[in-house]
Amino acid sequence: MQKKNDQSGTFLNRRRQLLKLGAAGMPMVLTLRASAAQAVISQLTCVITLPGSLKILVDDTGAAWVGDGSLETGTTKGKGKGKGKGKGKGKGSEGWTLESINAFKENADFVFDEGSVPSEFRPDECEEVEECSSGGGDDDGDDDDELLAHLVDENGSYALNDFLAGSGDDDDGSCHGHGGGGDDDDSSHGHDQGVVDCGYACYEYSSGSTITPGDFVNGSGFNYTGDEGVFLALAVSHSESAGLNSSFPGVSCVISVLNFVGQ
Amino acid sequence: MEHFRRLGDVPYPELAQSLKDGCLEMSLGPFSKRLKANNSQVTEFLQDAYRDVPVRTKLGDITDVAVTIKSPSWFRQYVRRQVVADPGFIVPAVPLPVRLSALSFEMGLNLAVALKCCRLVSFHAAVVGNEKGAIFISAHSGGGKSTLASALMVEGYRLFSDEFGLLDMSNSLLVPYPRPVSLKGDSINIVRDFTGADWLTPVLSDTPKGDIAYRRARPSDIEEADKKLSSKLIVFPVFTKGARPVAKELAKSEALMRLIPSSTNYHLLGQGGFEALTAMVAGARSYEIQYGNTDDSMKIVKDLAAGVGL
Amino acid sequence: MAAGPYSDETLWTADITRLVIRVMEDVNLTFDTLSGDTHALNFLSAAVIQVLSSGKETFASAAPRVLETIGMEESDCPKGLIKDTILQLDEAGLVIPARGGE
Repeated sequence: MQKKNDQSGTFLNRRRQLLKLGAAGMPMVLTLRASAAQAVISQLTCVITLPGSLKILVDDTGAAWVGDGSLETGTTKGKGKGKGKGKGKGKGSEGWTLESINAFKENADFVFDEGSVPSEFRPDECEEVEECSSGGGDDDGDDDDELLAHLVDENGSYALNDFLAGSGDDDDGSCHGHGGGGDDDDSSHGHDQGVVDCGYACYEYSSGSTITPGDFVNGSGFNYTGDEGVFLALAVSHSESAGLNSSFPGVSCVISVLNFVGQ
Repeated sequence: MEHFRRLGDVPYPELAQSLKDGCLEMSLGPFSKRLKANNSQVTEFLQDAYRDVPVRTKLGDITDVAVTIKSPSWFRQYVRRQVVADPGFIVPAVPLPVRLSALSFEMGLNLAVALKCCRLVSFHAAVVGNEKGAIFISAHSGGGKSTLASALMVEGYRLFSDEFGLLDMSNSLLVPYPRPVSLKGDSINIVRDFTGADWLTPVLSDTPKGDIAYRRARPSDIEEADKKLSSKLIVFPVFTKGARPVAKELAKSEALMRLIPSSTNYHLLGQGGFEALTAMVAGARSYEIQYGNTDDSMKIVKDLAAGVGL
Repeated sequence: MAAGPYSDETLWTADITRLVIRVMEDVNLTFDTLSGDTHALNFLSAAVIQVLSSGKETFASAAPRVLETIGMEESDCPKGLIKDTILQLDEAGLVIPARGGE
């Protein structure tokens, strides 16, 4: 705090003069109040309003794609067992077409690497078939041929890391959190005819949706819950990597809250 | 997705419809804005004052700011028509006669940026610069910062911003935001004299702030709006009619303590704002200048700018 | 902002760890991360905080340590000025009386 080595005559004289002024009543401290109460209110109450619909596609590694593209549904064949998280209703064997998933990824406005989405929002990995075919002879009971078949899309290319699925979903072609809804023992699984019903979850936000990041703040930072939690987790991730130049929706509001919570 | 176009190239009917639908997306400096207004005066003002700014008539992205110009009540749509700016959050706003819609629009946009931007430290200031650095002009309303900024533009300086000095907290660089320069009262004629009438919008008379006109940003100012600069010179102009021109250098600590109250969001930003501001002040020399006319203030500032290598 | 009644026996303390300090031309520009306030401290008030951060002191016991810190004599800086400075810092929330007989 002090520069004791700077003790030149002029310097000391200036300090002595200042002390004389202090003894005569001049303040030694000048304070500008920050109005902390106002800061609390303003920083935590900003609201993100989405002027257009938005989807977040999450895979089981925690990678994510954010965009407004559509995801087309189709029907899988075969049997299997899967489970996952999301908003799906857990009925039927509908899945998304690989073509629409790939198109969504390619046209995504923002892409996040593996691990970006907290684990509670990721779909489970596709499980393998319990009722394995008898022809494989694997010690572990898996049917590698069937596994392989499900890993390869219609065009013969590898598309997914895993196969088998949990839930199906509504069939209106929009995003409903496939892989969600819990176990679905009697459903079909994996992907067939270019359709996948596992390994992905999708979160959709309608136009005009509002998200108040301050509602998700606890003593240690953000507490990600609900569908908005996915959005916030990615907004925070983007603000951390892209900093102040981040163009992710609502990032100003998120940074405001981050500044407040000291993250 | 639609590409950005120069606003002046958008046909009036398309612009009006886009504004009516709330789909006009304007990109300028660090902010993208969504604008909505069913109001021919706003449309015409944008065509004039913002003609070189990039816009899309179909919303292509999520925006930082959303401003709507609307009637304060159903009644005021029809009887003694009024408008009010809705910046997307609750804030006291004065309804204005519909003929002052342009002013309402500018005030709404100012409010949205001043009160809700938390990624930049925002000051009430004007900023101009050249390739070597920026001149930060901090003054109360009526202190002459807009006139001085306009005069420095004629001398070849880039317009960074008029109502706002925006400081990037990550690197303490000033961020351009070249919206039209707001001129009031006598300064309208002064600026018209040295820029030419073509650069000014028509005068809005009898506003709550007197007569107001806007000096348009130049295409080059807008094209270079992504180029940030460090502040080299901070000036606090004080206009006193007929006063003898004087410049007094300020201690850095005094400059900083003067700048804090002029910030609209410093109190929100915590340590990051403090560190950015101290870095900005540490890298610049600061002066209070007293002057009695624009010629004097120009001469002083040019001399001071030369002294810091600008 | 002042912490309340005090006497000549009151022990004063400060927490310098919560302060962000930038020194400019012999002025300590100080940001208090607890309150969000910004302060301009001259060399004397900055020295008082430095002394009280390293140990609890009364007005009387703080004075010689402050003089030592700033490298000046009592003839330059009377004890009354040091006491006034502590009270100004108390008003600003930068020093507090130590409680509970500590």
